[in-house]
Amino acid sequence: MAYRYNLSDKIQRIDEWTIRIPRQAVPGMQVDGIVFADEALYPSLLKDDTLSQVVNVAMLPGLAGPSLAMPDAHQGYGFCIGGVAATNLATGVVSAGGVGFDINCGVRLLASSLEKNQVGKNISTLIEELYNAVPAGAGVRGRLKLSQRELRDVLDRGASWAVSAGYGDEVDVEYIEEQGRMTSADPDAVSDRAFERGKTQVGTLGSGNHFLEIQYVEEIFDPQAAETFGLHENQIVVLIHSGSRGLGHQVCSDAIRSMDNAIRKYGITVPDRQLACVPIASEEGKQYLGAMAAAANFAFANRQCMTHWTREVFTRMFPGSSLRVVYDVCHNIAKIEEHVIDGQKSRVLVHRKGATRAFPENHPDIPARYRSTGQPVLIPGSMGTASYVLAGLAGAMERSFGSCCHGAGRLKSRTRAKKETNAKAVLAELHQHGIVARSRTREGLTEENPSAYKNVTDVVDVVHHAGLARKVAKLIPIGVIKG
Amino acid sequence: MAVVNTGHFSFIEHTADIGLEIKADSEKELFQKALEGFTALICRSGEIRNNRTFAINVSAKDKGALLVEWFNECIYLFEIHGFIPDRIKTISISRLHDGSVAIQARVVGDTYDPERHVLNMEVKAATYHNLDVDLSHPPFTARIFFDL
Repeated sequence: MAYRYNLSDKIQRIDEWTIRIPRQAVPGMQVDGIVFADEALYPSLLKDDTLSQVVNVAMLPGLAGPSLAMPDAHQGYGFCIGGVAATNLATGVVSAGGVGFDINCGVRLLASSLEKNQVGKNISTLIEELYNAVPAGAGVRGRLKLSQRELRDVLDRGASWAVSAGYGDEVDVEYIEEQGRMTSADPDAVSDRAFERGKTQVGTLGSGNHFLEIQYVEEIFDPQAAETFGLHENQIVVLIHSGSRGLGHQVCSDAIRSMDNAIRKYGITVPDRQLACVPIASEEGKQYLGAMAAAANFAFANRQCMTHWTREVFTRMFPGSSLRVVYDVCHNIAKIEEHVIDGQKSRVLVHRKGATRAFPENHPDIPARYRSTGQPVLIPGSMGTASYVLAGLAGAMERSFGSCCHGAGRLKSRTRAKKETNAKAVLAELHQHGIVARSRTREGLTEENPSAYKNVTDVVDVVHHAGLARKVAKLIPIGVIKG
Repeated sequence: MAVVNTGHFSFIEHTADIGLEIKADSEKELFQKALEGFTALICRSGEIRNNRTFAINVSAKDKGALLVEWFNECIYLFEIHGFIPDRIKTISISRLHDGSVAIQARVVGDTYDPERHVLNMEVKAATYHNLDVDLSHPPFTARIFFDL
């Protein structure tokens, strides 16, 4: 059983945007919990186990700083969704649950050469064409069936595999986190079963909260950064949200089993079994990190293939148009990064479970084009609502291990969301806002209806004011494809 | 069997995902109800015919982990073979020399057919979060959460 704590009289507000759960609040906490939330978002954190999960993560061995939760945080399993924790390479642990099942679930933004009025009434046809081109939904197989050798290459080379196989341009990979390839990937650490699940799933959207949206730039907040990112008002853009599919799910399941079996050997106890973890340098830890990086590469290749098919549709419907990759970010990942801790530069393992990297200007790990602005931080809203493009700030390096929120954050369970509406009503509401939607199942619409989520603008305002990332542009959807 | 909530199990709301609670008079019945719960989770409607059999042979260090493995095997069989489980044909639950527990089962069910079945959702994995399995004495109970 996981623990639930009464924290109401222990929580301290640090400033308008941040609260602290002091390490003395619950026996066993090794570090403070820090949660980015203003007075408006705070009550939603008390409705489920989010804060208890922040406390549980604060009990892991070898933490390099506080257990963090972003303003979109909500209850997860083990870690909260929106949780960030960094562990020391020598004394710390890696937790597969701290990355999650959908390894390198992430988003990619494509900027088109089209204006909103050029798409106009063609949006229904465009969505229909994209729906036919990009496989989406549960039980749907992909357009590619890879051999063992090809899939191994995907796991090793990530987006570069897709480009060399004809799915995209070489320049695309420059604008992907890690250049679309985690070099620490170890395909040998990936189980046969994970290979089997991945063979037909490269280039598939999946279901749940995954989507492909056609949007336009409604508002620019930072003209200089927007120009650097290649964004301007009324421009048509495409946002793709997907991950590592069944291959990643299997890698995570394999690792949690392995860590759950090994944890006692290392003398580690955890308050929630889903937090099973092992020392980073252990055999189990190295095996997981190699397999996780391979699954991350699968996800980069996955989004790259869908980008290619999206481009094909655009070229067919709007001859001469182009789609440029603005950026591609991971939401579920563990990465070794350099951060300043107690005044010293240290390399730590940063777990991001439903959080986005938000590196600032001049950081060496971001594309040269963005060194003057900070990396693009892509924050999708709930279906039919706004999404945001932000730019990473130095405050993120100081306060959140270079991390930021990843979306609006769920408020209601899928069951409750389904009970409160129906697919017809959701479609009608989207239509009223001028949005065309296509979904494989009615659940794809009802479970993801906007009332099931926090207001993304409230979430983004917190990271903006807390100095983790600054607002650059607001995007509004006109077409949605759900799994 | 038609895919309905039979009352043999109940779903638990969770902000991110969904849980399943099962109560049964025997271990075999508990794993049977677990199958029915899984099928109700993935498949909204459609007749489930008994035209295919798969073996589910899994082991784990305790019965909680065994239930996780049981579901993860179902997820794998659905994803790779489109197998929608219906009922257990044979099942044997045993304790091994090293103290771990194992299931050897044969399960009958149907193959997913988009003409006949309407899917609900994709289940990524069974989790250990708030996992609670009590098989000490009847009624046997289990609670498990899934990542969707």
